[in-house]
Amino acid sequence: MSFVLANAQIIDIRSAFNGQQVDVLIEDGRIAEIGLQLKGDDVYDLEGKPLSPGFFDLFAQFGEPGNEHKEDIDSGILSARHAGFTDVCLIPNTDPVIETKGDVKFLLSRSGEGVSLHALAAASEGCKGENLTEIIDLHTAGAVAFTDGLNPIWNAELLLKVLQYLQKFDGMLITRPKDVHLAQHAQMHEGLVSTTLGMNGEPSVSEEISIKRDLDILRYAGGKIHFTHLSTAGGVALIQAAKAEGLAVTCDVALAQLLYTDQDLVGYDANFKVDPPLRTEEDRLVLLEGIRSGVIDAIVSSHQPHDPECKELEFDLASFGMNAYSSFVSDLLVLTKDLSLELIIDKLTHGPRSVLGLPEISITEGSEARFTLLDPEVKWTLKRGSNPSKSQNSPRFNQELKGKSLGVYQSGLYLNN
Amino acid sequence: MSQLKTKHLLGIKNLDPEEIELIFETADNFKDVLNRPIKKVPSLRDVTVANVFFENSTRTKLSFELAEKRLSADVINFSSSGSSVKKGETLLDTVNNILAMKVDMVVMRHSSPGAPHFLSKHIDANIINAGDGTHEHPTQALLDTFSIRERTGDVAGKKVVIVGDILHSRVALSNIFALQKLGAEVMVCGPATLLPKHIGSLGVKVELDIRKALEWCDVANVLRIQLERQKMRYFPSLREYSLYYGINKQLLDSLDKEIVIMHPGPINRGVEITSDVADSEHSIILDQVENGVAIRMAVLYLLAGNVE
Repeated sequence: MSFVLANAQIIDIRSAFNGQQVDVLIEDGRIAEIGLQLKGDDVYDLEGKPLSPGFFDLFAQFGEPGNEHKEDIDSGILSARHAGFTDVCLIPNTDPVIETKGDVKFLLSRSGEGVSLHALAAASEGCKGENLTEIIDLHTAGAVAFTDGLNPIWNAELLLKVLQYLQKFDGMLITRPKDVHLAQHAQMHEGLVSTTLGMNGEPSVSEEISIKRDLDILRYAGGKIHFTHLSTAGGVALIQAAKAEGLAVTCDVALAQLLYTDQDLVGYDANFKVDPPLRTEEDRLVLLEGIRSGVIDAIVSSHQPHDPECKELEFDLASFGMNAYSSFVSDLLVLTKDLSLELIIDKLTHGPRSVLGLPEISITEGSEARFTLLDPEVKWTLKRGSNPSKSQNSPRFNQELKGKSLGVYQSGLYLNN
Repeated sequence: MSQLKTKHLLGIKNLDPEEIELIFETADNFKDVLNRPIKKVPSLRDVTVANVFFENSTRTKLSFELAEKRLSADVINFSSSGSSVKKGETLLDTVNNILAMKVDMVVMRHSSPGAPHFLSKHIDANIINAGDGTHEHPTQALLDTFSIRERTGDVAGKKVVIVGDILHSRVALSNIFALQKLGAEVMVCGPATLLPKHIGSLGVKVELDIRKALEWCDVANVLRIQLERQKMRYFPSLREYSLYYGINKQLLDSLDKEIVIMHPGPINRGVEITSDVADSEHSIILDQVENGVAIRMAVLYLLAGNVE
């Protein structure tokens, strides 16, 4: 069984065909040949639409188990596919949290419909930052990395123990830098905007001092840390220096941080209430530069679906988190005003895979065929009916959007949206 | 200008100086009315106003209720204690239930910043913000600036210091906006733990020493120490606060000028201000209370004319 994706615009920095319009012949789930006028059992003409390696998400939350009404695994997978992802790492912050071998196996068993699920297992019991989980057992069951997900690892002693314990199998700790005391009552970034809105803010120094502390412990303990959800200019500078020093650190940024700033909160729209908070335009510009310079390794969706009962209420009572998947591809195209599409896609494909040390997937002859197909021109409105997610907590809801994912291909299976 | 541009009064931030001036002129007229033997006018006859207070209030609620009654409005009162809020009803449901009884205007106090803005996106009635958390308290700022204008002739060019807990104060933020729009210079003074880190970016001066602040100003607006609104300790003791930030007669007498003393109430006598200052001829605290009714009548009257 073979088929040809004809007239595909290749977007893949690691491919010799990057930027070219070519035919791709797929045989038995692998790329057999790339060229012109290729023949196969079937031919699908992409008419010059972009074809990239499958998007890989390092950080997303579904609601199963515990909050299936926000997003169960089925709706999560459908939403991820609409966002162009072939691979999704799920954070352990479910109810109960993902902290046993059985939990990991349950998640992995639910892969399908074009999307492979990967488990980020809890680093501490209940993600509470107190006691270690059975890390070796979780690793054996297939967990790709360890994290307390939405919760920062506030406890320095636990951080030390996790870093030491993970070294048995060169495991990765993913942590969100935040000082729990400085961020205690925060609703948004602390700055001029929070002052005029009368809201408690989290100062940038909250992120910066946690990164500093974690780097010090990393120097002492060894191991490797991936800092997730960088949001401040100071944070980017710290990671840049740590990389130059040769420490085993990587980092990512959530897409929302590249698109929005604290100015977007002026209307008290709780859809913009995220954690870490949207920072200033200066921070956003430094994050963009961090992507260009390579300090930032990956872009994550930080998909966090919430029901109206958690979002359509007074700002300080609303939950943190944004539905990122429902408008994801369209948002990537909005971001092309600041970054090239091939660089954005690099940070969604090779970047996250290399953070986790996974094999490279590229549009190269002999590589595994795992693709995302995009239609950058199509216009559509995100609303009930067109929304693949169970949740509507997107600032783009009821807006006309441009661009979506046509579908994904992996494991010999093409699924269109 | 004969009417406001907005149908809600959510804050001072989005008001034009001309709109504030219009409210003042309207309040001047209502103040005359309040000094007549018959203090009632028929302006809001057949208009129903709900005073919806999700947070405790004595004087603001009383002042609004009196203003509404002087304008002949029908008034209903709702407060969260003993209401369905404690049964888990959402803000939107509570207010929609009240509106279902055909209410035209909602005066709301709420502990969440932005709560009236949230409400304004979901309901049709006019909304007057009577205090939203640590954000704004627009009618208080209007009555404060109105009182300064009354005592000193004009707000423009005056130096006003706001003393105390700026961090937890909706009065401070609304006052800063109103004073700046009307051309006054503004300073905030208090322990640094009670001053928002970025307050200077609003164009106000920041002073940590009360004597220097008083030497600079024409008017001192002394805020209540909001013990109930503090989620943690911002200063070590009331004793120390009162020693280093309290305003007493000895301090005022040692200045070589006279300044106007204001306080939005309720006063913690002996903490932020001593009785001999609060009750002195420099104090316009009771004028503020009196003017509050006229200002609220003006706001209700002007907004009632702006029904879509």
